[in-house]
Amino acid sequence: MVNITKRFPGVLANDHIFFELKKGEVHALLGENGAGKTTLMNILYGLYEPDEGEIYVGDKMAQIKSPEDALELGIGMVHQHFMLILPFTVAENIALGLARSLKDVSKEVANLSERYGLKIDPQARISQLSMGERQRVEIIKALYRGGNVLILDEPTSVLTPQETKELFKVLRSMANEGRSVILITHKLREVMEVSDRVTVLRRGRVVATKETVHVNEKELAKMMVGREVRFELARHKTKSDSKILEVEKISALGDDGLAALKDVSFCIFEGEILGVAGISGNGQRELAEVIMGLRKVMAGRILINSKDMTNRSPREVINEGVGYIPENIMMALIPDLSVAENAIFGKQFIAPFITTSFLLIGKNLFLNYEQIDKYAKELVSVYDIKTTSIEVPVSYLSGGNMKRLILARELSRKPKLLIAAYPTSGLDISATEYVRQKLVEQREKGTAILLTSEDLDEILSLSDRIMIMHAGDIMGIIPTEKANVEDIGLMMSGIRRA
Amino acid sequence: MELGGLDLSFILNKPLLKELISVILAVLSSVMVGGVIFSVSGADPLLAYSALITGALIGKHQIAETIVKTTPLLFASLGVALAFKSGLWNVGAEGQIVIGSLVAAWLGFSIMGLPTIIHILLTMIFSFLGGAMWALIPGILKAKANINEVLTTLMMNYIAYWISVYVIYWPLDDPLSYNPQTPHVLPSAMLPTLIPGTRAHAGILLAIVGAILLIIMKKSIFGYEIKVVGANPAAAKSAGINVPKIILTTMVISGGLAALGGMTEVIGRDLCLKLDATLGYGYLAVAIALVGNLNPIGVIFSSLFFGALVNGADVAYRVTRIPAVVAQAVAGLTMLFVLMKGPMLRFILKLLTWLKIGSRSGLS
Repeated sequence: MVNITKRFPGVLANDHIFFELKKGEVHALLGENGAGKTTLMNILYGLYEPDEGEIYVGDKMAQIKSPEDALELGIGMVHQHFMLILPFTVAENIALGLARSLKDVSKEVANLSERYGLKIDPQARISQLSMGERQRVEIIKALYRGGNVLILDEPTSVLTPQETKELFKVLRSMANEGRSVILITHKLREVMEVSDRVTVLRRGRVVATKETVHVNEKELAKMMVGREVRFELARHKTKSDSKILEVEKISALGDDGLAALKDVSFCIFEGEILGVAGISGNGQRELAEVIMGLRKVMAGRILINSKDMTNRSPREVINEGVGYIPENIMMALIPDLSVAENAIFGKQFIAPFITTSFLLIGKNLFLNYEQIDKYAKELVSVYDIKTTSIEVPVSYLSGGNMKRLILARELSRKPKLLIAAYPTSGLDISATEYVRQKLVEQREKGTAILLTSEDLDEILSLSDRIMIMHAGDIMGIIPTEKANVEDIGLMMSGIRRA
Repeated sequence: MELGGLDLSFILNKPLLKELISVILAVLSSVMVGGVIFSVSGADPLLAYSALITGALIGKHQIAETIVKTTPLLFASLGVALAFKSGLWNVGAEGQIVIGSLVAAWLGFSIMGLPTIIHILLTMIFSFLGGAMWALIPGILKAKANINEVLTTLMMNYIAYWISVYVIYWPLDDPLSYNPQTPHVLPSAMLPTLIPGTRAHAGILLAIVGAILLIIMKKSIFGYEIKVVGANPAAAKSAGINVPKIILTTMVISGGLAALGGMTEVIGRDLCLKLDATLGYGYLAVAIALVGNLNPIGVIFSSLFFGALVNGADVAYRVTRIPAVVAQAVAGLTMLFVLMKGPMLRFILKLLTWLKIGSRSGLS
């Protein structure tokens, strides 16, 4: 790929990028969110057309105007979000759109899966498969359609450590057979583990392409961010003996009406971060919602500050001093409302934002916009939120700044308990650092924090104790000093209990 | 086209200016397309529009009639705007107006011996409650069972209409009149006249008070919560908002306001309930609320615009013989254009930029 340039309104996503893939190599494409990795690969796969630049396959210039063109050239892609039809079987999904009999397809799928150790039953329905297995289906799908080049977009985000290891084994064996693999990632460890070469992107430009053996994690991080990165956070012992949150044997249903939490019990102490490790979709979201009063508890008790808060309304829970950073920021912000109005989202009934009116004396029915504006300005300056004013709609802010606003709002009220679900997902390295720093600071102020994350490294570096969830069940709670990734991985996949 | 090197894209970053310009564009477009309709119907559009404007705005009686037409529309569209703001597509103003007018007609003639103020107040309260109850039914269905309010409010309109037909023909039929109507209301229930010698009554002042109350309400916790529920009910829950309660309260106020529009027609204009007296007001109110950008002040102006349009259309008919329903067509067009206003503004700005670049390259 030579001189690839792609512009989006207001952004230069790819700026004269040169990218070369050799036969039989695993090439990592490293960069932060928004560095232009996915854009570049979408161009290669024919989803976007570049504004400038050419693509050569072999020695020939290629015109890739659609994924069909890409597939014809032997380029396949596995997207971050799988494109499978759930009620269909594996074979049906792979045969989709091809003029071949299901029988032939099944046979060849069995062949491929044996050759690369991609264990999968062609007759299984997608809906019955785990995320790791679904990914295998996507890989086989790409291979089946003649993939000499396989692009994988952040493939490990849905996998346990063990599954990741298996995937990397598959990728290596594919490379050894002369196929080429492009691995899009922002995780340094993966680059070191599996790739032959690495190309680092920053703000739409290539920083460098290196042989992986000639670099180390620190250098890569520096190239990716543009400055030195601290990995370790200073932490002091702050844990005390008073329990802020006690969850006793709770069960709850998921959106589908099936059990999402099964007999879950744990507690969090003052000044403690309890990290929840688990593949997303194993009850973490439901757990947060149950505590916040957003989901009904079918059995069991929840105590906050030793007060029974089981099945109380969200308003009562918030009034008890609980802050909430939901995994979906659209659950914590209203894009059309101003920054100031969003600064009191979920706090609109709390002093000092309320006031009486001349109409109904003695009742706090009105909002005190003077106080709200003052407070919003304070948040913007203290938490360094980049916005032209507090009057503009929140939708004018970047994703990182939206997340900052949520964090600012939830932390500034000095919560006793903070539910932080995936607080750093989608953030770049410096914003991630900032959020982690703030969480540790808050811990030192005595807040009890329930931290959910899909980044195991994040959990290991922030938590005092780690709770591992699988299928709505707690597989174990272990102190971070005694934790090792192998055990956690086994527990995440439900194979072992602590 | 010379723009003097002016970059107009800044408009997109000023929410208020953007709204204003796009609404004006939408209204102008509908007037233009309406002109085409006039031409096709065989009338001179300029003549038709000038007759329309004269008929609506030039002269004491014309202005008075415009105010009379505006009053119920303002009440109803305030109600609609509030419901829409909270994300409830209440298209039931039509029926809520009918219920309000029924209650007003009945209380207006049946309770004797009350002082004027008390009688009017009582009529107001019960008309409001009547419309509120009527809107509460779809509200409960929405809040408790998540049944689509568009369908339920719409169906409630038919029920209200046929109830009114029944009531006017039978239990409350005026035995002294050959027309299908209820007996005249007592003088103690009549709204005072605003402009002497015309039909303009004090109802418009009540409607403006209603608008002011809604503006004050915007600054309340309730007003904030309505906005949040309207933008994202799922998120509202996590903000500690009792969503069903907001839905019910909004429907009650929305239906009550619309009902007051029906009341003013009875105790302000006709002084009895005539068959089909408020036909179509509720649907027009949807257009008005949207043109007014669901904002009370905006709704005051758009009500005036539509009040004048409806009133002027009658005059235009007498001059050009174009049926007054053409005014309704223009109203419908306006609603269509208002719904398209965002893309339309962007398109026009793009067009202007393109023309500018075109003229420049033409020079060089």
